[in-house]
Amino acid sequence: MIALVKIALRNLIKNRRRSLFTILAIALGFSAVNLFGGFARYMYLGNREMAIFGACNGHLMVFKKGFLEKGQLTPARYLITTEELKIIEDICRKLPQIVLVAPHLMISGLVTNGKVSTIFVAQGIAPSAVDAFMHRTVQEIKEFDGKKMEDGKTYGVAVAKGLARLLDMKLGSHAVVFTNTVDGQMNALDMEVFQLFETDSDAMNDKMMRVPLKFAQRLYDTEGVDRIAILLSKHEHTEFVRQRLQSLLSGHPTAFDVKTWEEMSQWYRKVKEMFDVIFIFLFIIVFIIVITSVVNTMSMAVIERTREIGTLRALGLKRRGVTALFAIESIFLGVLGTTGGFLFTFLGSWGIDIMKPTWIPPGITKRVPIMIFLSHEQMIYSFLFLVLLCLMASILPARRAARQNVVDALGHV
Amino acid sequence: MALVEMNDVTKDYQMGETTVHALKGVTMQVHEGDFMSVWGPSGSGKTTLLNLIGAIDEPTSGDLRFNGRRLSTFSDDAKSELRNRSIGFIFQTFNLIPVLSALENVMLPLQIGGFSTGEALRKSIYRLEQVGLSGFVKHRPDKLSGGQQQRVSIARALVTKPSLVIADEPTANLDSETAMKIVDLMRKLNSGERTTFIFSTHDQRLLNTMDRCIRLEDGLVVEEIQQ
Repeated sequence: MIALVKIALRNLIKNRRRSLFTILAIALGFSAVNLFGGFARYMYLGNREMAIFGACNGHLMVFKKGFLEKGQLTPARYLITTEELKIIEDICRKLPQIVLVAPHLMISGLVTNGKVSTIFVAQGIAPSAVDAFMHRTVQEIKEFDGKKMEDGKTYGVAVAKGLARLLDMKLGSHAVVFTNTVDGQMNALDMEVFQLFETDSDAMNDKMMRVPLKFAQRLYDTEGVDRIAILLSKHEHTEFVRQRLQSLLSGHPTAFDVKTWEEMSQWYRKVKEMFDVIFIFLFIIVFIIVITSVVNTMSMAVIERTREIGTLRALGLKRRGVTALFAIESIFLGVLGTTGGFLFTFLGSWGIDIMKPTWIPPGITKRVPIMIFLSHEQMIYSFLFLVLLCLMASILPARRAARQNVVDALGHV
Repeated sequence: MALVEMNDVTKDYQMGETTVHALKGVTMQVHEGDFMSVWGPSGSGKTTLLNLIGAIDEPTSGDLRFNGRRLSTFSDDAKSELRNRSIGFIFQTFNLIPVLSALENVMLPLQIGGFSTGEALRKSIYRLEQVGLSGFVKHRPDKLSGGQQQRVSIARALVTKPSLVIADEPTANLDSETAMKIVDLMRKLNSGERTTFIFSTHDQRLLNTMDRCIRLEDGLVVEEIQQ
């Protein structure tokens, strides 16, 4: 075996230009897959953070059963009452994985600056809960200009920059919101712009507001909320806590639905699907390039070294020994290629860290940095997969070499 | 018992639609300690005969035995083991592995046969000393002359202490002086270690040193001379 390893390695060095091109093809393929994978991970994590923390929706959301289907038509019927909220909060206290329970009330209506009116959609949530969400993000989301909303100042609201532009509102501007209460009466409240923020979608940038929960409840003239966001200590607990919570809530006379953040975030699912498809497409291209390069290199080696194969067979090397010889060469190519790939990947990631390029993703209203979150697990799997791929690519040429007639091989010129 | 026994061995090759009858029924024996040659004009079947004896080719018909065992019953792996343990090859074009040094080339049959590196090293150095190349162990084949390469090839053929060494035109690519030195070397190894040598050659000088010469013509043994 030592002799075969020596022959394999030295032949690769002897044909260094050809070996180098194959190693480069593997290295570039490896780094392309892992850099893109790292970018996709960053996108997934960014979108997950936006869904869980940025939108203050938490890992889980509790609704009254039927709210998602019919809540728009008869909101009053699906509001969670103060008593029900207390029961849910008590249940949540029993689960140590839950770190925050934040009731929400989504409201909509008209907002006016005295001259111009337009529709709005607002998320009613306690400002202290918003703070708690923002402090737990990995990427430290600070998505607003202005000052923090406060639980005690219920008139202070956050307005999306698109909506503020539409109504010519700045930080400190005053406006009036009006809408129907849950009982169908007209109601209006004064507000002051404490914050201006970017929404994570173009469609909502000229409509969205975030208001203190008390403000939303006063406007709708209710003590109820329409959903409860639940934040967990670890993302990995999501499914477990959902099942526990659903089971604990099933003992209550009112039926509730518990949804995960992923079920609630269509945007995340679509982005993930898109990146998964691109990743598979890229992987197939890399797969083809690596297979073609290795098959070509090995086939050339078999043709050029036919006489050497004949000599080795005459000296007593068995067919499987010849197969092993070319398999070892392929494994060397794979290992050297992926080692180069590790280097290119770290260099690429480091270069992006230094240059800090930015882009505007589709549906987003502001520039975001391009970042690479490399996955060691993905790199190790890519390494193993590419080395295995190289080995598989060598099988056909190696078998052809092993099956050659010894006399013909010795007579080959 | 003869080392090699051939009875009415034929070998046909298919060249397109034509069948070439390379051997037409050869009967001969090779005895232990023989220093013999097979000679004859080009196309007479010398190389084909040596390939059959060396177990790198199969006869079309007839009986071929090595140490009394019929070669046609051997699997490919069994033939490989036979070649590795019992047969040494010396080729006209030396056929050294270009990426290995002289020493590594000589060690190769032992390593294929599963010997430890230490033992392979010890035996190979001894053989290289025996062929007068102890100063060239680290040289790659492209840094050696034709005569030196052929001596490495001889050391490689002898390193496993085979029962039979097959040399196909070993002096054809060498100048006269080197050729005679190589023949003297093989003759010494034959008389010193009782190693059996069978050559194919056109070279009259080489033929003069043989104990036995078998002349082939048109795929048939036409003459056998004992010297």
